[in-house]
This record gives sequence, structure tokens and C-alpha cells, in this order.
Amino acid sequence: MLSVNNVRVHYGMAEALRGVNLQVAKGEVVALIGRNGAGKTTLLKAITGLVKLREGEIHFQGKRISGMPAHEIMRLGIGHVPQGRQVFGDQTVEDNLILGAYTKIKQQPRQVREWLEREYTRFPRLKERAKQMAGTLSGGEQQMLALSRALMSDPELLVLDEPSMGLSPLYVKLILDTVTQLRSEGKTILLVEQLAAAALAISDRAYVLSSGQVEMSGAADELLHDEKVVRTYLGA
Amino acid sequence: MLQAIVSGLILGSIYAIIAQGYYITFVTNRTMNFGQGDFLMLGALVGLTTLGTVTSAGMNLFVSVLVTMVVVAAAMAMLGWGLERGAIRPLGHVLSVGWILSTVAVSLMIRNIAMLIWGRNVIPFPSPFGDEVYRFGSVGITKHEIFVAICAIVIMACLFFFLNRSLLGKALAAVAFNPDAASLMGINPRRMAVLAFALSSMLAGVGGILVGPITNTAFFMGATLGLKAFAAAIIGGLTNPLGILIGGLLLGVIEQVFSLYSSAYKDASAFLLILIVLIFMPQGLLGKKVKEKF
Repeated sequence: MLSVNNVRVHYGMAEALRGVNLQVAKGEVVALIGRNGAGKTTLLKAITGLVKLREGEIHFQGKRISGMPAHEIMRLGIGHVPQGRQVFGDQTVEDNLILGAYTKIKQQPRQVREWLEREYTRFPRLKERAKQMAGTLSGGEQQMLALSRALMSDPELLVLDEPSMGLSPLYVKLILDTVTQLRSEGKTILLVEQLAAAALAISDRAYVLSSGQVEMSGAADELLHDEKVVRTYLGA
Repeated sequence: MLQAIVSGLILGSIYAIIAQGYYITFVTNRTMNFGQGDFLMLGALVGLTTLGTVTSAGMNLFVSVLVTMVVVAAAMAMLGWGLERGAIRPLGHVLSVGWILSTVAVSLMIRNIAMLIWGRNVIPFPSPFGDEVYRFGSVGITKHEIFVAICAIVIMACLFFFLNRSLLGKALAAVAFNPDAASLMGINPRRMAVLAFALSSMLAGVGGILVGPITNTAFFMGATLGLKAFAAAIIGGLTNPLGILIGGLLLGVIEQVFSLYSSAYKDASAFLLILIVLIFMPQGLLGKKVKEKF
């Protein structure tokens, strides 16, 4: 479904990604783990068009998306939940969700209503706070909102950038459980996570990124028991 | 005194309309058209010419005023679009503050072109509604001032509705808040920037039609008015449309009240007000800081 071929990204003189290859098949949950600065976020931004590639190609469902602007890539069915949530703090929770469906609301208003209800069922807390400014929510609630907002366009592929960042253990569990649930709904998911053990536990496959390159890849449960991964990322 | 307050409110509402133009572009992509005043002047002159043409073609009063407004709004929207595409976007990559100089440059061009077309003299802009004055006790209000007040209310209502309730307004606000996140929603930030400049220029143009009969028109009229409107925006807080409305009205009233004593103090009072606001409330009366949570 998604294929990333030999992607290089530079920030000025610094090389953030140095020839990354990655595949995601339909229905999979793929985890992307690695230390701070390994290039995980940059890779996600490269996929959704927020940073420009120096080299390489990215295809989504057979279509070349590298070089397209972010707002067009999004229309093809990729939902990106950005790092740090980035909800629109000066607008209400409901308006945030409606903006998530910006590309669909004109053509399918009834469908969007249904999706809105679906997200409110998924996270009843959001319904309670529908009229509240998104900036007043707690970090965990903002993460729910960011996730629901991305789901409002009913994307095929969901790209999650550190959904657990800065959350309490309870919220981490809630968010990761939701990822598992989304997978059973048939979504394909590419998940970036610092909490390597938790991410591997809910994924099919994983890539380990280090200094802008794929260091290792394989089935998640194998990596979970790989000595080097355990030593470096799981802190055992 | 009461008379001064009423005229001040009328004048202030025009400042506020023009100032909303600064607000819209500032919040969408952190740029402003420093030629807003000259766009206003162009709006006034194009409006004057259009009004002359349509009335001499024998259309009735309200239709011709409406036609004038539509023509000016359309022309100014085109100009705003051109400004963004021609003078702001291309410079974004080269120099982040390039727009300050480029919008001033465009405004100088417009000013000089207007001088070539309409000449150097002050052109009287007779109000399409005549000079009739209504008296309410000690206060006299011209028909044109009533027209301005109605227009201001309608424009403000439309603007507030557009910004707060419509999907496009929400998208505009989303781009303002976080352009990257907005583009992940499928919103095209560049299109929103064009839209903001088109809207901003339309407001300047309509402001020109409204202010024309009060101040009369000439190629140099823009500079002061643009500056006053900018002052209104700064006083109210650049990021709050309601604050800008209040800022505009306040500025208008203070100017008129001071000019009761001496017309020399008129402009001084306006700029004194800005100084005071900037010293004690640098964000403006209703400007606010939004903190992001991590």
C-alpha cells in the first residue's frame, strides 16, 4: 500500500534521512522505533508531504506521492496525527473535528455527521467537551482529539507520530488500545513510538531507525526478543 | 460634544472596516498589506468613477450604489489576489520580511498610477444620497453617515459570521493557528493566503467608497487613512476582530472630540492613543496570547 524507496531528506546541510526503504501492506500495523533524532518524525513528514525529499520516491496505492503538497496527499487517504498533537487550540473541539473532514463535508455531509458520532462514541470525553476550546483540554484529551480529527476524513492509512508523548500511563494505554481497535476496523497504521515495547506489542512488523537509516526490520515479536533491540531500545 | 461622538463613531466604523483587512491577512500568513491605505484610495476613486458612469446611465440610486460596491469589491479582490501572487508569495522564500517593502512598493505604484489617471487635484465625491441632514435634538446626521453606519453593521456582521461560523472561516483560522496541521486537514494554505488578501483588499475598497464623501478623494488620501486604520488594528489587538472594531470606534471618537478644541490635535490625539496603548497593553485592548500545551 505504501512504499518508500531510498528516501533522503536534508535540513540545510544536515542529513535527516539517508536512503530509507520501508513498505507497509494493507491492514498492517507497522511500528517505527528509534531514538530521538533518528529521523522518525522526518520520515512521516516526508510521507505526508510536510518536508521535501532530496532524493527517492514514495508511492501510495501505486500512485507516486513524493513531490505532491501535503493537502493533496491527504486527499488520497492518508491521515497524519502529528507529533505534539497540534490541535487548533483557538477553536472548539467540534470545529476541530469538522476541520478534519474539511475535504469531505461539502460532498457527503450526512456521512460526516455519522463519522462525528462515531468519534464521539469512540471518545465520549470529546462529546462532553464538544463546545470547549481545544486549547483548554488536557494533553490526553488533545491526543484523543488529534486522533479523531485525523479519522474524520476516513483515511485508509493512518500515520501516528508518538501518540504517547507526555501522557500519563492510563492515557497511553487508552490510546494504544484505540490503535489496536482501529486495526480491527481495517485501518492500516504506521506508528512512530518511543515506547518501543508497547509499540512492538501491538504491531505486526517494525522498523528500527538509527541516524536516518533503517538499522533493522522484521516481525514485531521477533524484534521484541532480539538481543540488540532489547539492549538498545527496551532498556532491559 | 454629542455631535463629535456620533461623527467619531461613524468615522471610527470606517477605520474598523479597513483595519479588519490587516487582521485577516495577519492571522492567515503573518503578513499585512502596508498599502492598505492606497488600496482604499483606489477603491474610492474607482467607486467615484463607477458611480458617475452608472448614475449618468440613468440607473436608480440604490441599484447604482450596489453596482458600484460590487464593481469595486470585485476589482479590489482581483488586485489583492495579484498582490499576494506577485509581491508577497515570491518573496517568502528569499526574505521573510520582504513583504513589508514589497507591499509599500506596490502602494507607491498604485498611488502614482492613480495620480496619472485621476490627476493631482482633490476630487469632490458627492454622496449619492445628497447632503440632507437629519436632526436628532442637537445632533445632525447626514444621510451618508446613516448609510455608512448601516454598511458598517452589515459588513461587520458578515465578517464575524464568515470568520466564526462558516467552514471557510474555520479553515482560515486553522491556517492562522498552524499552517502545517491545516494542510494535513486538506486545506491549501496558499489558497487561503490569496483569499485573505482578496478579502482584505475588498474591505479597503468598500472602506474607500464609504469614506470618500466624508474626506473627499485624491491620490494622496490613502497614507493617513491607512495609518489610522493600522493604528485602530494595533489599539484593538491585531489578532482580535472585536478588539479591532472597538479600537476603530475609540480612535474615531477621540479624534473627533479632540478636534472640537483644536483641529491640530486631531491626528496627534490618535497617535498619542497608540503610544499609550503600546506602552501599557502591547497586545492591544483585546489581543490575547494563546499557549500551546505539550
